[in-house]
Amino acid sequence: MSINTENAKKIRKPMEVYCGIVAQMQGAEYPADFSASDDKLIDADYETTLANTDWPARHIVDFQGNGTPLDGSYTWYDASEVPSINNGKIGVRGHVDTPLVFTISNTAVGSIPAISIIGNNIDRIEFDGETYSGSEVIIPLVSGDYTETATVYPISGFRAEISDLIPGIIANFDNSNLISCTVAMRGDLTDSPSWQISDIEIKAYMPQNLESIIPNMADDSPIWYYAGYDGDYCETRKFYLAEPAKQGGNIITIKGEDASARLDNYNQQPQIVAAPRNTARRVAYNKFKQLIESAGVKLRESERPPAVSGSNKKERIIVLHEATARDHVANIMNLGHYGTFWPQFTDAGIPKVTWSKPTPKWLINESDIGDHVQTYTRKTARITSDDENGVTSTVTKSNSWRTITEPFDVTANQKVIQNYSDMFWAYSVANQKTRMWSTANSVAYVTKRATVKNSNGTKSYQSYVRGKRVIITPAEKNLQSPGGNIGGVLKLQNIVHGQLQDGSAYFFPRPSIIFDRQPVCGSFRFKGDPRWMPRDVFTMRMMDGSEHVCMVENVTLVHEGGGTYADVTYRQGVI
Amino acid sequence: MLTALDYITINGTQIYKPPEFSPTHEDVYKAEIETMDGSKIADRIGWKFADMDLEWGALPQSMVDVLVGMNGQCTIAFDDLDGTQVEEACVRASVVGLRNRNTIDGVTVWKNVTCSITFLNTHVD
Repeated sequence: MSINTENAKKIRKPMEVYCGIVAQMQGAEYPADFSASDDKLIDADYETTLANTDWPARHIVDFQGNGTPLDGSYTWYDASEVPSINNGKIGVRGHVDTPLVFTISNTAVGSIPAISIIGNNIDRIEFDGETYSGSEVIIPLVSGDYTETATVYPISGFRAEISDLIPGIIANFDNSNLISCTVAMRGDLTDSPSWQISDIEIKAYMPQNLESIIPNMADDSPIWYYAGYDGDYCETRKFYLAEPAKQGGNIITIKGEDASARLDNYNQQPQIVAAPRNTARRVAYNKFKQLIESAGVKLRESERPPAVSGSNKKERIIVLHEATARDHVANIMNLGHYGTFWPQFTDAGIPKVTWSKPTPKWLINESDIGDHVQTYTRKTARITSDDENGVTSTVTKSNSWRTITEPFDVTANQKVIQNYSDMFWAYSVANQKTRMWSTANSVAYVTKRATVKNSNGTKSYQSYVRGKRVIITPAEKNLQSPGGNIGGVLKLQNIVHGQLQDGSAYFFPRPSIIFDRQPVCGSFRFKGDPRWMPRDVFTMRMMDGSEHVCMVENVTLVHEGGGTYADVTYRQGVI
Repeated sequence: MLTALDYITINGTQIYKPPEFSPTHEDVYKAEIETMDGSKIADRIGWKFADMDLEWGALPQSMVDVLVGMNGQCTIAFDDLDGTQVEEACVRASVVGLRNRNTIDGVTVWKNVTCSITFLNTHVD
């Protein structure tokens, strides 16, 4: 069964949805001690293997229960195999039909409110006078110094196996306990975009009353999600807890954001980026990627940089002004697309960077969707800016040194930080021991002990800074659409000056690309597909037979009451 | 002589099966969308018993009391069309219609008794 086959049907089978959260509580000692347990097999470093919930439990040939399937999915036990995410792990496995006994401790300092155990073939766990049924349990703990014995009873004929045991909460949900799961995946395809964060909201049935424990799940605890049909699931999306989880009655609510929320955490300091024509696209792409990674986004996939090609004779320069990675990323995706060079960052739980211009991935027939509404945005006819350097500009390097800080007295090993209103591409610092950092408009260094003879014969220790300026020259004060005056005026916020050139074309920043955009936008509802991403390109085949290439702006995928649908907004063209 | 086949059971009490009693299964859909060409697309999440309008020519007071006593979620047991005995959760969806009250040899009998029920559970195939 595949997502494509089911989507081709008018009446589809309900989609299987899997999601959950792993909220490890840090700062506490590992709470479980198996040193005195009568186990059959245990990883030597079980504290590490049990805490790594993404390491799979190995399928080992075993005669418990109904024996081992002969389909090659089980392997012989090999004691020399080092546990890892690739090799899997043993965890802790008891004897057949024999309870597995271990101790759980808590400490007064750094006490944890709960532990979570996930295993196999577990009938029940008895702990501190309470009984917890099943192979996935959350056990609330009393704070303070105490140690209690836990007894894990296997299902008759089997051995109890524990694969995950963490201080904190693991909660897994599927169709059997999920009430709703909404994944809002966002882009911004307007002419003046800002980066949009995607998020997930899970509402699920939770039989245990954990009202006092649930809110303790830490911010940024990973939330995972995937959906599809047996044998064909979408890639697992990863979000991070964004606000305290809640439990009301037996309903738990969990809200998370994608990693792109971290783009606000990185502030790009003023920087000069220079590139000859043959590597300009590569330099721009690498800078784009570096902005995202510096913000703490771990990319799951990134396209190899563009190849070096063409002449390397003329270097072009841009100045990146101080702004967050969020602003720069949105700016590059708005004004840095040209030809086949199309730098794009998409996250929505699968952070990915590419530069090749996207082509249609999906075909949508208008006859297969509901509530299709087309809207028309105002075309941009003119682009202006309040910037004294205009809408576009050129940046050149001056080769003459200019004294930008007059000599001043210092002591040895003194930290000096200088900020300037002009931009410089090179600095020379007198009496510098080490350079801490420099940006286009600041320099920080540590002084060394240098001797300077003063005119009166005394000695003092001085420092000063010289720099080579970059000169920004206005090019176009405003840009007029070649199509005439029809449309509105867009006021650009320049956070980049200068232009990078590839071959004979200036490609970033290239505000004139905005004039090429089509004003047709739209929205529709269709059967949800969990593989869709913001900025996916699709072909819309209209009922009159015409076809249009469109780009997804937002997809809100809703799994509710067993059914799945998606609300989509789009803009015609490839933005 | 009446047999078990002549009864249905509501909240554990047997009452006569209505003369017209034919439970039917209906599909349950979610995420229904009316497409731009007017057709319907949806996810079929399972099936449930279709709502039923029950009607009796006559019922004794004791059995009418069972119908009147249906408050909130109730259970109803009956033979499905394939002969298997099923027990389902349901709610009474209408007032109990009582037209004529007769007393025969000291026994109260109501004639033309009607009542509608809605089944609650969706079954996954």
